[in-house]
Amino acid sequence: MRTLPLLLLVPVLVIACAPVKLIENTRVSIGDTYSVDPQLRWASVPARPGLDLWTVDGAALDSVMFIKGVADGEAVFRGPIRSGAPDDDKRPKFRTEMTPSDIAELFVDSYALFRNQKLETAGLRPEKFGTEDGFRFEMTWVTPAGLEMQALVAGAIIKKRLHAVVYSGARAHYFPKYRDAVEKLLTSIKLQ
Amino acid sequence: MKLATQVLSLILALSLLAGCATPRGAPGALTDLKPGERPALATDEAGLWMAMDRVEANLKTSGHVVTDPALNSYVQGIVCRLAGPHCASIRVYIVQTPHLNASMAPNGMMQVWTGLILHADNEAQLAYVLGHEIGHYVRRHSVQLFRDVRLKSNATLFLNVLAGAAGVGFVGPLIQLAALSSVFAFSRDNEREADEVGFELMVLAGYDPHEAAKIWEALLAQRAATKDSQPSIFFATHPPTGERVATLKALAEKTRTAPGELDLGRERFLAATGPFRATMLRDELRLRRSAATQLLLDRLAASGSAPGEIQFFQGELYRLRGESGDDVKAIAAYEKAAAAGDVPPEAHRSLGLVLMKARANARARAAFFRYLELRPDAQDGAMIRDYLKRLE
Repeated sequence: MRTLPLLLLVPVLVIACAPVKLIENTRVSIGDTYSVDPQLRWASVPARPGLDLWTVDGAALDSVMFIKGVADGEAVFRGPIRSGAPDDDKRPKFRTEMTPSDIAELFVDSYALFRNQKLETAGLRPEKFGTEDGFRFEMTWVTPAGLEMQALVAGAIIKKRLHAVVYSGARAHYFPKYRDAVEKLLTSIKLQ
Repeated sequence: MKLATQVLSLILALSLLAGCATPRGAPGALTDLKPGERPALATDEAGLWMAMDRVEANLKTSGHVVTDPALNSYVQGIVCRLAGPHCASIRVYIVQTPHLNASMAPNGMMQVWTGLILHADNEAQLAYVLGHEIGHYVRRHSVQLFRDVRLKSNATLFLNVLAGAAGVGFVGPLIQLAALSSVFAFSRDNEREADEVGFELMVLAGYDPHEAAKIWEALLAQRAATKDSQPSIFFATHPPTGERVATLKALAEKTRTAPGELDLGRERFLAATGPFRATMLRDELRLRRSAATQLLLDRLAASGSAPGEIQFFQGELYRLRGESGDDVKAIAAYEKAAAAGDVPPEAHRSLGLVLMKARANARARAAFFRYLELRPDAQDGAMIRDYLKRLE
């Protein structure tokens, strides 16, 4: 019985030990689906399963998160969230038949799992993700620490999996700081 | 758990610091707080107030507080009706979060979470809970608890406390408040006393005393529906026991009230909270606890207010739950909502989305057109127009 909690800790420890890596400003592959031009000298930091996370000033202040192919029936955020949060099987799930409207809602509900409040979306519209038909919207929320955040989400369903790039930052300063660079990063997406 | 420990650590650390300035000795029975009274500076109670003042300063500037003047004035008005001469010392903060909670800090900072407002049927029920919290404040239960914790703690714990307290500054307001609520889990005697005070205050203010037990009964049902998901902070600190319900029912039966004197305040409650109900229900839906939300929607539907809006959210629950047959149920609920007349434009968008998936293209187009007609500047208008093209 005592070994079980220790075993559960192993993935967390592995993530915690993963190194912070500087992203070179050359073309970078995101999984095996697409590549981007980073535009900035981001640092890649440890992230949840299925995600890559890059930041300049610290992930709590600004970050680009690459969601690398959520399969049908999977949650966007897997792994431990917080005490009292629903287990993976009770979290909002991606479904391949989802419309962009459903996906925007999926993001909002997934961010609510972290006790973020006042979650709103704006500007949902169709947009190419590389050469794929995709979508884009903006999102705002207040973190449990009271920080007002803003995010830009662009994504598409590619081969029945949800791929998305989420650029988020503190609304007051950090989000506008790298927004132009992230816009260029998004237009640089090339499917592999 | 870690955060709760951190805040407990802060309180215990404060108690240690306060112990340096305060003569030791049995605190004895605390007298009720007098209107406008503040604790003497060189006391542990003053230290506790100062800590809460800092939490309050954080809360004020956080984005969690509902700033609408009308809603704030309404809830503060209920507090003043109940608290009488203590009114000026109690500052109400309405916190936007679907979780059910209300709490009272020793310095007069009262939090009312929107989840509580959503789950109350009328002003009398809300007044009872607010009166209960005022009871904790006037009887200085936080101070009692604080001293109990200090007396029961041992040296090892104090050492841990000092180590843990260092991290407290990083705890955000909402987490702090949630953790503080769990720390301020009053004794059963304190809870009983606050129940009695809350009950007396609501009766003195002219509210229907039978509503006190009713809100606990509703919360018992809510707890049963959510027993395996997210435990409520409020339930942890205010266990809605059968004994509690029975006591309040018995008290209500004994209370002599003349016909026409009993005030439910239902119309006032609906007028004040109605403009926020859609936001509160949207927040509730985001918890994705369909059994508990269904219970709430059943209660709201039975109350007969805003039938279109309630039917819309019933449709939303089916659409988001996505179980077999839910698409058909969602369509029926949205159509019922549209027929009721007081439906938000988003009901037509949701109907269009479900119909589009069901390949009922003509009906989906009609629903989307109706949405854009009612919401010409819709934030997702470009996406809806794209769906319309695909449905041609």
